Amino acid sequence: MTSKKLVSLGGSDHAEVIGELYEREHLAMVRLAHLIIGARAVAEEIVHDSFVSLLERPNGIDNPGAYLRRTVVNGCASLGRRTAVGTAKLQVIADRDRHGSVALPPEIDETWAVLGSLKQRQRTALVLRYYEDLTVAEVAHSMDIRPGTAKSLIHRGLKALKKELETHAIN
Amino acid sequence: MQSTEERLSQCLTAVAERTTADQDWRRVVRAAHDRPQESAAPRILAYAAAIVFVLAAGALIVSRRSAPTRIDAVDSNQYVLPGETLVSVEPLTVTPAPAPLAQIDPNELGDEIVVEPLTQTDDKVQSLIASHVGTSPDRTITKVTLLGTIDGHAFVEVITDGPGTLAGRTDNLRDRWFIGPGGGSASGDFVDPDTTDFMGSAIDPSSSGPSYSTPVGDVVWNVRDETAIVTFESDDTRAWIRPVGGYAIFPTEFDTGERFTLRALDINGEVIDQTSVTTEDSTDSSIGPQIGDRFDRIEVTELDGNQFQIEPDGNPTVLLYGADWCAPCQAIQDQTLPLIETIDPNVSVLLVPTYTSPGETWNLGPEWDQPQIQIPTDLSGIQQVPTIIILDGNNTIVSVSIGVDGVIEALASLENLPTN
Repeated sequence: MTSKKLVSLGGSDHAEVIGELYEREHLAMVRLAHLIIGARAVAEEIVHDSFVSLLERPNGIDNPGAYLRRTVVNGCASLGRRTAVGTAKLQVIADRDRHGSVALPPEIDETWAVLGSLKQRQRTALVLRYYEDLTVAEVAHSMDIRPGTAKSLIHRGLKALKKELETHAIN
Repeated sequence: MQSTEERLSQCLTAVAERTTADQDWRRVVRAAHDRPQESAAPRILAYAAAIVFVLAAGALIVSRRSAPTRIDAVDSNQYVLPGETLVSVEPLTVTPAPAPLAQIDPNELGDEIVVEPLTQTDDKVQSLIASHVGTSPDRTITKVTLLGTIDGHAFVEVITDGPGTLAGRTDNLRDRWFIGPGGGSASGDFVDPDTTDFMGSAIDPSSSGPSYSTPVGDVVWNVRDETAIVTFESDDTRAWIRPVGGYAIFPTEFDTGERFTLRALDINGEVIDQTSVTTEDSTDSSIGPQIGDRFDRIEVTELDGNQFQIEPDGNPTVLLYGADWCAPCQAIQDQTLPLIETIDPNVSVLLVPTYTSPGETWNLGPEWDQPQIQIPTDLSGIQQVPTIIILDGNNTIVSVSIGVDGVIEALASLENLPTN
C-alpha cells in the first residue's frame, strides 16, 4: 500500500494518485467486498462509491490504501447494518451470484455457503484476518473497532464456522 | 485433516480468484465531478447551526435527571428466545431501579431542524457529511431531525433526496446517525465521549422485527411503548441508553457467565420493563485435549521458530494457555507466579499465547521467562483461556483445567506428580 500524501481535493496530483490506486487496487477491493458481503455486483458498487469518496475527500490522506480498505469495509458494514429486508435481498443477489458463477469444488462451496450464514461482522473480521492476512490490530483499524472486539469476532466467527461445518459433515 | 482456518483461507482464496471486475475509472471521475456547483456559504451556516443546535440540546438534556423509578416484578421469560448462548432468563426486581445515565425530555423529541438542501459543494460541508452521514456527492440532504441525545451524543435522522447514495446505498433516502460531542462520531456508531472507544451500533427494530441482535444472541423483546428507551448493560459495564423507537445500543464484548440486563424506559426515564440474560459456559468438554490422552512425543515450535519435542522423559510438562486480551489471564500474573516459581526445575512450563496474531507473545511481565510456543497440533482445540494442561512424565494428560481457579488448583496438584 502506498503512503503517498494526498494534497488537495480534485487537484491533478490527487486525481493521479487515486487513479493509480484505482488501477492497482480496484480488483483487490472488489474481491474483498465480495468475500465480505457475498454479492459481486453489490461489491463493485461499494468499491465504486469508495473510490468516488476518496477522490472527493478534501483533506490529505497519509495512507490512501489503508483508507480505501477501511472505506470499503465501512461500505459493506453499512450495507450489513440495513434492514432484514435488505439482508434478504442481498441474500437473493448473493445466491444468484453464486449459482451464476463458475462452480466451486464441493468442499470450498460448502465453506463459502457456511461463511455466508455467519454474522456480517464476524465474516468481515474473518475475511480481513484470513484472506487479507491482517494482524488483529489491522483488522480492528479496518473495521473501526477495538482490538479486543476484533479478536472476539475472529474467535467467535471461527468457532461458529467450525460448528456449522461439523454439522454439515454429520448431515 | 485440515483445520478450520486452513479450510477458510483456502475457500476465500478460491472464491477471490474467481471474482472478476471491470475497471471504469472514467465512471468514478464522472461521479465525483457531476455535482451541482452552487454557493456554499448559506449551507455551511445552516449545517453548522444544525450541529450547534443538536449539541446544545444534547448538553441541556443530559443535564436533566429525574428520580429513579420503582418497579415490582416482571415476567421476562416471554421476552427471550433461548439461543445457543442463552441459558438463564430471570425476572428482576429492582427497588429502586438504578437511575439511567441520561434522561430524555419529551419536549425535545421530534424537534425538527429544518435546513436548506445541502450539497457537498464545499470542503467543510463535504467533510461534515462525509464523516457523519456518508452521502455521495450528488445526494442532497433535505432535513435533519433531532431524535434524542445520549451522553452528549445527538441522535439525528437525516432525510435525503436525489441520486447517489446514503451510507453506500442508492435506495436509502433516510437514515439515523449519532453525532458525537465535537462532531466526531463516525459511521453511526456510538463512542465513549471521554475515550472515543467504540461502544456499539444502533440497529433498527422497526424493519427487522422486535428483536435485538445482541452479543448473547437474538433477544426478542416487545417493548410495550414504541417510544421506549432501551438500555443494555452488563454487570461490569456502564449502561448505554438509546432513545426513541426501541433502538438498542449494546456492548460488543462480553465474558462467559456475564449477565446482561435490558431495560425499557419510557420517555420520562421511568423503567417500564426489564429482563436479563446470562451467557453460558459454552465449553464442549468433548472437544480438545482430554485427560488420559497420551503422546509418544509432542512437536513444539517456539514463537521464534525454534522447534523441539516433548518426550516422555519422566518429568511433567505444564502448558499454560492465555493471552493479553484476556483479563482473567492477566490475573494469573500475580496469583500463580509464586506457584510457578516453586515448581520443581525438572518440570517444563510453557506459555501458549492463544487466539492471538502469529508470533504475538503473551506479556505476563519480566518475572515470566518461560518459553512461549505456538499451540501444538496435538494439544489444540482449547476453547477458553486461561487453560492449563498438565502432562505427567509419560506424556499423558493428567489435568485440563479452565479459569484462574482451575489453573491455581492444577498447579498446586503438581507436587503430587513424580519427577526424575
